[in-house]
This record gives sequence, structure tokens and C-alpha cells, in this order.
Amino acid sequence: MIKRLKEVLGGIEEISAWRIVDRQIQGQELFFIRREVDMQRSKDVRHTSVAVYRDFREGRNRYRGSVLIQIHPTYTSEEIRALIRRSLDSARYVRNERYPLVEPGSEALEIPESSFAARSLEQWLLPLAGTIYDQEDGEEARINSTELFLDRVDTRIINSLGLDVGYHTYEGYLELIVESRGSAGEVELYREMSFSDFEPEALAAEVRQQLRYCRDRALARPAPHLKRCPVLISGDPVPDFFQYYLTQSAAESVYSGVSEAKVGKSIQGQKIAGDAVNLTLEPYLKNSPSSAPYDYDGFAVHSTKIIEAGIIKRYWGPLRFCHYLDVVPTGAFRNFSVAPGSKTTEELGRGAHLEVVSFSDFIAEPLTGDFGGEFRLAYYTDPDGQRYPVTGGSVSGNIRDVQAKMYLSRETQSIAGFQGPLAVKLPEISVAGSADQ
Amino acid sequence: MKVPPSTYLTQVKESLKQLLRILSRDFSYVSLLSTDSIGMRFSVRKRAVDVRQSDWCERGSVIRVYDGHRYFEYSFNSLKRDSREGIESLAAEITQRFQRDAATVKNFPFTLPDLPPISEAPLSGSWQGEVGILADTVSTEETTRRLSRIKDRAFDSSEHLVEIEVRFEHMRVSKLFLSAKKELEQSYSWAQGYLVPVVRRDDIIREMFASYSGLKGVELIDELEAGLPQTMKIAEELLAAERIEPGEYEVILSPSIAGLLAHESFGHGVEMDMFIKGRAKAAEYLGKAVASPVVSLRDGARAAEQTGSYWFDDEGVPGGNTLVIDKGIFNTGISDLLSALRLGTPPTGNGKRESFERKTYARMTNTFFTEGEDSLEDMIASVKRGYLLEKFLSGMEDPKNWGIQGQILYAREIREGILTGKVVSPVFMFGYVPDVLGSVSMVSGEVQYSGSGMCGKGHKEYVKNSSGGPYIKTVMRLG
Repeated sequence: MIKRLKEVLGGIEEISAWRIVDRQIQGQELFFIRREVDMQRSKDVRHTSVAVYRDFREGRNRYRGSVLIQIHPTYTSEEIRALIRRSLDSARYVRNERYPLVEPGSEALEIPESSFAARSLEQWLLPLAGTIYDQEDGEEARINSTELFLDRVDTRIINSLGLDVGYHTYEGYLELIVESRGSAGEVELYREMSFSDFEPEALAAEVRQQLRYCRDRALARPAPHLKRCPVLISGDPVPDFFQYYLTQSAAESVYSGVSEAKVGKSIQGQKIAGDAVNLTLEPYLKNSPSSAPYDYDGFAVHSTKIIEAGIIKRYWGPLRFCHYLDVVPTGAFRNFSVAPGSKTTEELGRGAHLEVVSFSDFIAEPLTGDFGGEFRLAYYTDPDGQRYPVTGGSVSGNIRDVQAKMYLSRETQSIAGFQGPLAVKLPEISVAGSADQ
Repeated sequence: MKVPPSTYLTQVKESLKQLLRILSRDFSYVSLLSTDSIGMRFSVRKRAVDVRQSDWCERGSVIRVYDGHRYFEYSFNSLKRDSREGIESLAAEITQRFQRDAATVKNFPFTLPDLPPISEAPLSGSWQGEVGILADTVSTEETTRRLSRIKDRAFDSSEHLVEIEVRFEHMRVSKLFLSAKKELEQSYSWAQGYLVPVVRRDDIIREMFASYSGLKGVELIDELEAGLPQTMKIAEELLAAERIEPGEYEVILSPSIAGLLAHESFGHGVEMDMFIKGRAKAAEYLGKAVASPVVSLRDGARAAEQTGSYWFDDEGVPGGNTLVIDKGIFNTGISDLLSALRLGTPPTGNGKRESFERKTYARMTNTFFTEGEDSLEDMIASVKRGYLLEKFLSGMEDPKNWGIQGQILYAREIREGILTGKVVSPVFMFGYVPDVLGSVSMVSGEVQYSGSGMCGKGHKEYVKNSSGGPYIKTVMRLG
């Protein structure tokens, strides 16, 4: 396939440059309803994308136009040739400033091999499913259903400058639905998890936590109307929250003008009364399916500090946008870490506050900083120090209003693509309840 | 213009039928879905242009077999064309794979289902959609020129505009479904477009979002052009928007938000694969009142002409037109084929896959509240203290507990029956489905649809569909 593609690309004179990203995916999938295997699926697919570049001038302006296309394995050479020719013609109308492709020769980080490499994919299905279902303790909560996916992905990136790099990853995914019965009827909680290694303890702990949360949701009272209250968010919403800082410091955001962040300036405002943000881009995080030694251009990525003590150290992004800003390129990352904060979760939990552990869908707008969502389970600690589960309320706020006074937990978590504080405590934000007025 | 069928699917049909015949020797039911969907996405911004194939493109096949007890699937996208030996070798490989998969779970400490075979009535047919202007008959030069002109007009119209994305995307979807009794082919086109201006004044930054969609071609760009002035006007208004005081309000839902409510409340809530899992509270309400008598709701690939339309679903079942809620009474859910098999109910043509690589689920198609008899003016006049909710960004279902969450870009304040001119943004809306639907008191006349987004099941399995409704007055919690 690649050989055929390279031959076609090499035979078209008007091409200024090209890049191929080839991904071969083998997958195994199991779908359970309670403890019954509802469906079993497997797949064997190949996805090959080609970016064709055409350099041209208009007056004094020099452009690099490109079109990104997919070459399916069933394409004939004639189909490939025709598609590339059409794309090349289209590229003449894509007026982007010139930018370089990745040169070969950069040293890449060695990504540790996943434990999944030791056996075939189907041999991991029982250890994974067994670990998940072994956590049911027969008490008030149980597993309603699960969907389990495990893929091996072999990636190769080639370009017309002679770059030819490759790596493989394992991408595991679990959708877990747990249920419990309370006085008001049955309730459920939804959880998704991504993983790249077989880590039974971490998986088991996550399932047990969801079962515990679900039991608490069944006992939860309607959320009170707090109007404004300190809020602790934990788990999945934490990396979503920090995406704001990634977007603001991205070279593409600065180039397009949607971010006014400046290197050397604070991104958290002038006076940080809480914890300052320290953010690092990471090519490798343990158990993250997003770990990779190269970005999609084939640029070798290395651990890179972006924000230190709330100050932007550098912009980040793919070669193209870093070139536009005339800054040293970092490559495009999918993993990041945030340094832990100054207080333990026990310290963060002092005083009246709301701790949200399960949102319906936490939304954090990385451009405007608006965030919020309805929570399915939270724990409210009232002014008398009583702590009890509540459900059905919502929180909302804006990162720019809270960032100077927020605190990050000293305890950390590792979830897909993120390593950092387990929890973030936000000062007084808007909290709506569902209890009768 | 008629949407032409896929040349590729026409060429490989006989080979795929041969594959089906060979596999039928070992399995009592075999079906095959092959896809060849192509399209492009054009995006123009202030300093960047992006042209690429749409992420909805796919070409591949999925085989489903029944071994006498349960169903297995295998997805693949390599196929040796016109080679009898190649097809025989592929069939042997697939058979071995299914046997290996069956053996893998045989000794697991989990139960295995004993399902009935799929029973199909003979059906064959070929369908082609129609659009105004087929997208692949228009050059990239013409398309990018028109999008760039919209971008330039936007910058001419606003001193606060920082960035705008003008995006147009078109797809030509072609599918072939084969089984022992069915031979179905369809080709249709849809298009969608977006205007996403970002405005800034001092340290206030706001992003507006307008979208357009339909079973259309390049003529959709006319709608983007026509919608620009209003989009820019609202973007400017958002700069003065305030935050809402959390609480319960009388609300009028725009057709866009009514669609979100239809989708998240009684759309996901009646997907019948959830009935099997015991995840849908709606299952307890079949034949019972779940909404006010002025509420009726439909879903169906043939119920509207929008991005959720098709002639047959991904399991070869003809697209339907299901009356889900009839004057407040829950009539029936929507179902894929395997869920219907388990439940002993008829499938409704709602079996959809994200792509040939993914499993089929019961999914929505075009989901909407039907029209009522009130006027928007009367509805506004009836509100003492509330909001007109205008444009949705996202939503989330909770079929077991009948919660609904929606993120709304902005809402307009109404006091004593008058729009005050005050705008709040963003707004989160929440509610308990029976309360929200039970509180619907007024419904306007004209149904409008929006099909520019995508719908997930949980947080994955994204598919195209549309949702809509007329203006609806109810009571909800906002925050």
C-alpha cells in the first residue's frame, strides 16, 4: 500500500511535498449486559491519510496550499492518482503562509512497551472483564452493563523529506454503567475509562469507587439551593478544566488572535492568592493511550514545560503554527501534566463546600473560560460540618473569575492523557439546586 | 440533481454476494453492510484555510453472523476485487476468526445468550437522493472563494471581530446491505455549514455559533451567506450578556432548544436497547401519560427530510416514522433489529453504526416535537418572569433517571410578557423529564429542524441525526 502510494506521489511533478500517516488497527470488543456477553466483535482495518502540498506565489505572497485525503485500501492505483491530482488542483486555492515539513533525524523518546504486547488481544479479554466484574460485592450496587474495547494500533509517518518513523500503541476503553436501588427507585452512574496497560489494581479501584458512588447516589437528597458556594471538582472534569490553559497557550490560538496570552506574562491574573498553575506537555504518561513519541507530522515530542508558577514559558503546537510565530516548535501533544497543589484533599474539604464527583457532562469552554454542568452526585458539607450526598443540582462559573483563588490538591490522579491534581477547589461559584424551594 | 450511486459498491457487489454465499455454509444467518461515503470539508478563517476530506468518510464492510445461539461481527476494509480465490480466502479467514472469537469466551465465567435467529422478509431496492447542486460538480476555487467572501463581510461588519470560522462540509453517503433475503442500495447527500465568530471587547471574549444543514448540496452556502448579518448581530449582543441568576423559570424554547429537549428527553430515553439493559425509565411508562396533552413527538428516518434521513438502516430495516408520544401518552420506543429480537417487538429502522467499524445501537434519526396551534407572540406575552432560550451547544441524556442537561449559548429575558432586551450567556438548563414535558403549556405552529451536530451514545458512537420542533413553552431550572 505505502509503496504503491509513494510511487503515485513520486510520479506527479506538481507536488511540492507530501506526508503519509498510516494506521493499522486490530481490535477486539466485548459487550456485556449484566454478566451476559451480549455481543462479540473484532476488526482489522487500515486508515491511510495523505496530505499533499503545493507551493505557489500570488504577487509578493508565497503560499503553501494543502489538502488532506484518505486513501482506502481498496483504492486502485488509478483512483489514488486521480484523487491526488484533484487534491493538488484544490490546493492551489488554499492560501496559507508557507511552513516547513518535519526533517528526518530527530531523536525520539523511547515509549515503554505496554503489558498488552505480551499476549494476543483476545487473551486479554478475560483478565480485563474478570477484574471489572470481580469488584461486584453483592451489596447495594451492581454492574448494569459494560463495553470493553482493546485495539493495537501500528502507526507509520512518512514524508517527502525522507522522514520515516513508526510506533505502536494499545488503546483500551471501558464504558461502565453501575446501578443501585434507593428509596426513590433505581439510579445509575456512567463512567468511561481509557487505558493502555493492564493495571488491574487501578481498574479495580475505579470500578469499586463507581459502585460506592452509585450506592451514595441512591441515598442522595435533592441538591439544596446554595446560590454561591466553594466547589471541589475531582476526577475527569479536572483535565477538562485545565484545557483552558492549553488552548490559551497554543500557538494556533495566539496566531489566530483568539488568545492574548503572552510569554513571560501571567495567565492567571496579576495576583495569585491560591495555587499557581504549572503545566507540562508529556509525550509519555503511564497507562495513557495518547502516549506517543511523535505527533501527527512525525515531529519527535519531548516533555516541555509550558506554564510555570502561572507564567507562560512558551507557546506550544505543531511545526506549522510555531513557525508562523517564529518560536521553537514543540510538536502537538495529547498528554499533559499539572503539578500538584499546596493542600491535601482533607484541607480542601474543610468548611462548607460542595464536592462534585459525578457530572452528567462537565462543560469547560477553553476559549471563553465558561464552565459548568449538572451533577449526578456531589457531597455537600453544610456550615455545621455535616456531609451528605446530594443529586440533581448544577454549578457554573468562569475560569477567569476563579483562577486567582483556586487551590489544587496535593494528591494526584492519572487518567487518560492527564496526570495532575486529584481535585481543584474553586472559590464561591454559582450553585443551583433541585430541592423544593 | 440525483445523487449517483457508488461506483465502488457497484463493482464489488458480486464479490460481496459471493462472500455472503460462502459464509452461509457455516452460519445460519449472515448479513453484510458495505459503505463508500465520500465528502469534503472546507474551512476558512482569518489567516488559515483548511481543505480536507470529511471525517465522516468511510469505505469498508462489516459482517454479522449467527452461530445458532448468538451474533458475532467483524469489520474490515481490505478486499481483493474481482478475485474468486481472494474472496474464498477472505471467507475462510473470517470463518476462522468467528470460531476463534467464540472459543475465546466459551470458558469465561459469564453467561452466553441463546438468541433467536433474525427472520427477514424478502426485500430489494435501490434508492437515490436528490440535491440542488452536487458538491463535487463545484470547484474548490469557487467554494473557498464564497466562504472567503463571507469571512471578509464578517470583518467588515464588526470592529470587535477577532476571528471567524466559515465552514462548509458535504457528504455523499452510499451503502449496500446484503443478506440471504435482502439486497438494498442507497445513495444520498447531506451538507452542513457553520459560522463561528469570536468577538472581543476589552477583556470580554464571546463565541457565537450558527449552523445550517440538510439533504442539500452547495446551495447550503446561500444559507450561510444569508445568515451572516443576524449571526454577527447576536455576536455583538453577547458582548453585553450577563450571567443568569440560577433558578426555576418559565421558558420558551426556540425550535433549536425544543429539538435538544426532544433529543435528550424522549429521544435517548426511548432507545430500546436501553430497555433490555433496564436503563430506560420510559419502559415503565408505555401507554401512560409522560407529557402534557399538547405534546406529540416523532422520530424517523422517513419522518423528515434532514441529515437523519435514509431509506434503510445499517441492519437492512426500512427507515420508519414512529409516533413516540401521542398527545402526551408514551406510544412506543425506537429500536434496532437485535434489540427488537430480544424484546419481541418490531424493529423501527433505527439501527445505526458510527461507521462500518462500530456496533449497531438503537439510535435517533430525525426527532422532533410536532406542531401546535399557538403563536410565538402569544407565548411571549404569557410569560411573567422567564427567558426565551435561543441556541443550544450541547446536551446530555440520563435515560435511567430522566434527567436532562443542556448547554445554551444565550437566552433573552422576558418580564411581564415583553422581551426586555437583556441577554444572558451562557445558560445551563436542567430538569426532570416528566416535570419539563408535563409543564408544556403552549406549542407554536411551524417545526424547524437542525441537523448540523452529531449525537453520541454516552460519550462515543457519534452519528448524524437531526432534531427540532416548534417554539415550546414550559418550566425549567436554569443556571
